[in-house]
Amino acid sequence: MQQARITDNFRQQKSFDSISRTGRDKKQQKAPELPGAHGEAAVTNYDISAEERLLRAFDLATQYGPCTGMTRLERWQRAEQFGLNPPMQVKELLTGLQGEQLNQCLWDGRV
Amino acid sequence: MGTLDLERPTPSTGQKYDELLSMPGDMMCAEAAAIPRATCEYTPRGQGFLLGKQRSFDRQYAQLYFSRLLKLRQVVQQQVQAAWPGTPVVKILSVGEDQEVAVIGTLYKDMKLKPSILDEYAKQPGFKQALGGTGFCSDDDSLVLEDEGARMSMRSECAELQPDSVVTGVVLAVRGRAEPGGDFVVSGVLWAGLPEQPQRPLPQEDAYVALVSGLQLANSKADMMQVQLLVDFLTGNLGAAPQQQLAAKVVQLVIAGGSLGQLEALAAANPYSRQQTTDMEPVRDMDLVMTELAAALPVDIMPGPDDPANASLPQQPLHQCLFPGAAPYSSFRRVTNPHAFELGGCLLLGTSGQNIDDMAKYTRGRSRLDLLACCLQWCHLCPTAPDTLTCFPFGADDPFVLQQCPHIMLAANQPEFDTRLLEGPGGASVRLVCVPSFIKTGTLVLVNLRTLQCQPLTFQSNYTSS
Repeated sequence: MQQARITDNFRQQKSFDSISRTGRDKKQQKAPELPGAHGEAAVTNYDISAEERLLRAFDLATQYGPCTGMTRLERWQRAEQFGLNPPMQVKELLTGLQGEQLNQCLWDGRV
Repeated sequence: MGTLDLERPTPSTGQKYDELLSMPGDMMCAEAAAIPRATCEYTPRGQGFLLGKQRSFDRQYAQLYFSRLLKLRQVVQQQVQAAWPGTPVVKILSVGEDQEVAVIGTLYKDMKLKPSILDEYAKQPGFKQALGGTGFCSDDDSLVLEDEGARMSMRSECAELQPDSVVTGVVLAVRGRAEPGGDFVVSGVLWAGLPEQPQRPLPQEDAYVALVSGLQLANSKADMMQVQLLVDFLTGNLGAAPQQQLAAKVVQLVIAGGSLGQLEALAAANPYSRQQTTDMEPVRDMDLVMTELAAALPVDIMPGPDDPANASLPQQPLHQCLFPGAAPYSSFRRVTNPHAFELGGCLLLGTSGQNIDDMAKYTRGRSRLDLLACCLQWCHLCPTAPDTLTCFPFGADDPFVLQQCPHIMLAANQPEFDTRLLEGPGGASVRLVCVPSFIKTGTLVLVNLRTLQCQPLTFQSNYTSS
């Protein structure tokens, strides 16, 4: 019988899944499909899509609070919870097909 | 302090130690004389203070301040509409010099003596380090109001808004007009005020909740005899029938932090030495004490300032592995700091004192109990978090905003015992208690759930006093 080790019961390392990932880590794993919307390229790239433009306006609207440190969907949900009536179009974009890529705010990867 | 409205012990009939001086044979009818402990329905109410497993510290604190402002702005706006009906409420960016307006925002107190992280980089150590004190107020502190768009500095002509009596992080409404120089001259101020208090059903008989804090079992000056007297009293092994009857009416014990304290020997020791087992003695002592208590009555243990829990508020419950003996008892509950629960309809809210201690450093001329009352007035449990009191960076919510007015509010680990009954609008009455540190005063506080009066009990074990 193989001797049971204490390391069998107590994990030394946190599992990969339980590490909370910031937007930065996500970018290193898979390339974003909307090029240049975030990170270094966003400064010089004018080809951001209309959806991204709308979401950036949502990010910069001060009445919904600061945008860094939260995903856009979280911020939208918080704004709704506090009765600020955020635009439904933003939510539709964020929960739509491209929602995952559009979920990180404007300053993600830049600040 | 004046005279406190304390509950006096019930006078006992007959001779003082009749039962203790009787013949041993009479003890055979002990079963007939057994006193059952009173029980009370317990409902935990502090779910907002429990953090999940995923705790991301990446977020900045601006989100927390925004949530706080939004949550309290609605409440303050109602106050403004009631008190100043004609005054328009505007945002800071729209404040003009022509008319008197009301503005709602978060307060920031600019303090010269406040320790700043940038001092570490100063070329010459300033006099701030030389002071090293616990009071950071000075005569030229100034107030700034901030909302989600802008900030403005204020000059107060109102006695209620003076820099010495407020702290950073309070949400309030000010009325006044902007001066040509840029300052906003304040003529009136409104706080959020006490939240609504739910009605509580009055119990038929006396039931007590026992509050103690600051046992400091890891401190070499801790008197184990004193702690044992406390345990014996609560378990009904101390005194004669009157004391046992009083102990039987205690339905809940709350140990509000400071039970272990700093494990000095462990911090200084070599991690590989065999000394570690003896250095861990205080942890085992704490478990023994908790096991005795948990076997007798429901116990809620909160972490305190120096306990082995996380340092930032809300402190998470002490780990189960610290209590191998007490953890199996269902009457033993490890809870967060701050802690909120309901006992038979009576709402209790308490902290281990870090919020009051921090506020006391940044105000002048206010007693600890006054600061506790201010927390209720400002509708926030720890307004100085996260500015000077370390706190978790919440994003979507601020769990320290008071939603309901408690019936009993306590701050533990305070230098001395103090209590007051605060009367609020709408018939609300709150019993405010400053629970003293046990290692300094040996005091246990019993709060009567029927009358909301306090009865402090002091345990002493030295006979050499004069």
